[in-house]
Amino acid sequence: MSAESRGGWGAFSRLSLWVRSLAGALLAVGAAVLLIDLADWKYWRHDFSLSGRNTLDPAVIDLIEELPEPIVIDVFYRPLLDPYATISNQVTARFLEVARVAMESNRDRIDVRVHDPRDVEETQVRQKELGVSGVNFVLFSTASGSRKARAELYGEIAVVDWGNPTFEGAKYLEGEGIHGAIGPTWRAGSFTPARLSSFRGVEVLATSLLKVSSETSPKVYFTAGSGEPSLEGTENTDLSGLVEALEADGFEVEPWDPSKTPDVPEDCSVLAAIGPTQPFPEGTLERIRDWVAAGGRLIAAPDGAALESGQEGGVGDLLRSYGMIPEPGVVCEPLRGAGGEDVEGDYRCALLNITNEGLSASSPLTAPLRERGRRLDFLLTPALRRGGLDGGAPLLEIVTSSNRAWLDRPVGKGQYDFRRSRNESTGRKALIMEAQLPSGETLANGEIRRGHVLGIASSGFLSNGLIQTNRDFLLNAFNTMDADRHWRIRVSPLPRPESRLDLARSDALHRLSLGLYLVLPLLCALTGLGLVVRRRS
Amino acid sequence: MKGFTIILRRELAGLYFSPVSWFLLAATLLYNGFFFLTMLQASGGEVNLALSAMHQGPLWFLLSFLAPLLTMRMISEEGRSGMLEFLLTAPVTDAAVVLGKLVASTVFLVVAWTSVPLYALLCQFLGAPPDWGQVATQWLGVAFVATLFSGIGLVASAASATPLFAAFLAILANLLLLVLPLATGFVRGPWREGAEWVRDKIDVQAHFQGSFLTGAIDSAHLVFYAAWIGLVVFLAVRLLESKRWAR
Repeated sequence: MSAESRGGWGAFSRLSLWVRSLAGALLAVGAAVLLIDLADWKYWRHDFSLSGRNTLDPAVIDLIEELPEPIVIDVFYRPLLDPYATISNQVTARFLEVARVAMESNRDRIDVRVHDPRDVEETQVRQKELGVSGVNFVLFSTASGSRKARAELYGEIAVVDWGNPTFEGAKYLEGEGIHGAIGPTWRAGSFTPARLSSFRGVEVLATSLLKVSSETSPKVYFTAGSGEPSLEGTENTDLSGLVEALEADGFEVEPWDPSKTPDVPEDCSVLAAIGPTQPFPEGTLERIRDWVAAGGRLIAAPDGAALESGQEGGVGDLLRSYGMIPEPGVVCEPLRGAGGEDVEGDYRCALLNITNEGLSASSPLTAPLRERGRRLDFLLTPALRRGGLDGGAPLLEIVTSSNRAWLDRPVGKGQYDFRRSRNESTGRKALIMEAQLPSGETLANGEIRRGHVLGIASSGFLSNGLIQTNRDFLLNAFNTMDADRHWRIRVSPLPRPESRLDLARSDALHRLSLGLYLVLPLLCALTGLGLVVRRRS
Repeated sequence: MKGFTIILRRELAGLYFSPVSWFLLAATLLYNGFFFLTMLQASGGEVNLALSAMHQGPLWFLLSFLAPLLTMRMISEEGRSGMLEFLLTAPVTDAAVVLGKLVASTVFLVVAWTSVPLYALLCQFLGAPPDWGQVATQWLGVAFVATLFSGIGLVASAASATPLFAAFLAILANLLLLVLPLATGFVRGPWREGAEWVRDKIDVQAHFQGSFLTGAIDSAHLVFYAAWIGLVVFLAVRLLESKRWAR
């Protein structure tokens, strides 16, 4: 008699039931996956934390809501080693928290990709795709990759006071792309740890979103055709480093050759006249002046050799019209000898490291550098002298040398002795000047867009040779000069929910230990013992 | 519903009148206490940070092991002792049996983890009030995770003939659920996108950390847990049902 005929289950019935159950299970998995996908598509989120740590500032939320296309936030970081591991973890964790909250506020608009620092291959592929390089930075880009904005983790997102590092520590930080760890107050042999001075994660997020979400990228035109340094070349005197930095910051860079198109291009946001070695074509200077008078923004830096030769019709003449008089020569500062004495006659006298002392505290171009302890480098630079500017417009010296500097005059053609002679007086020399013109174009909203000129004493300041040190200043300058880029929106920082027990000075730890190790487990163990006793009795 | 209540009461009584459960609870409290004090000291006395840290490693490790230990006997032992035949012929549905056992196990686990909000209360009395909104969402999240891990334990218990093998299977499944999302990070090339898609569907930790841990409630994360819990309950019911005809 078969099992089935006895009222049991036959092999076929069991098989068909197993198949049905398996199919049911597979369908259930499919349904669960579909449900999870649907829930991600339309969702509701509420912040129940009392501190509001999951809620961004309303201004930033509005900004994210209005993003014209999705934004990808790529975080490229490499944890620092001890003794900087703690600060490095703190900075990274805080920014990742900001990025997470931004993404969670609107998952359709923001995507965050954190690149594992150990996965070098994947990181390199992504960086190549985005056209960037380096570590410890965040890149905001549109999904299509057409617009980008870069923010450095240290110095921009988080301002870190690096304390008093050891010499090896400072060298290590330099190697990690963190400059300025050794400040003027550095003392050899006394280590003090780093600490977070301020955190601007939300502010940088808002600023960067504004940059990448603007419909059109601002255009920077570099004058060309008059012997300017190459925009693509990789020589120390070329400008490819600056161009790459500008493009990574969301600018479009184009050359402008006045001999081909005499007028300044209409879509020009900032015009850069950097180091032409020959005079501009006739009429170009007038056209640039007219463009600036109508509210244009100009960054100009002369070539030292062209100045020395007394060339006319170049950047020198252009700067003179705004009260900035280029003085041929090389600004030098004495070196410190082993015994603390001043040393002259060395070519290194012409390499100037400008620290806080030489950076204006009141200019928006230099104030952020002072806060971050950054320095600027100049090499073989002429000086600028204050002249008169029509209409009483303000003319500011925003970067100057130390008061021990002198302007070294050439001893032969292009030759300097780097020694101070009697007719070369010491004192502060202006290296970068800024002029805001009284005139400008009246915009539709009634505001006047005034002409703005930034004069830099030497074209070498912007070149590949010095871009590593001067990059932040230059990006800040181009952004500030671009009148349409008012990135600095005021936002409140993400709150840090802190509630601290003073473990060192109170008996909190003792009381907690008593409760956690003794009272609670003992109560449970006694209950268990009680049950054992009851069962036995 | 009546069947569910009866099963739930029976299971809860089985758990709370068993000395082993209380010793397990005592061990859990020691474990939680040790980690909380360690985290508190590491964070320089920062209560919210220490409470959040408790919901990272310690929570997942504890639940991965404790839930299988609680659920391993719930179905497989009953099959061995003959109680299951009685249950299957009783006027209760298979779903009520599974749900009753699931809720009982979840309640035990959540009560065990309630020690953490209790620590928050102690800190409040000691003068450092925690973010209670965050504590509440963390606790709710733990309830979801405990339900999911209990469900996995029940599936394993229904699928195995011996409780020990059930516990082994469940622990393995829990650990896989925690490790697999991390492993997807090592996938390269054209499979990467697919691996990321799979990770998004199974990453229980990320869905916990993305909302409950930080004090937010997100419907997408609620649905994620509900879908997985629904799936494991469905599988457990099917496996229990198969006991009728698999003999």
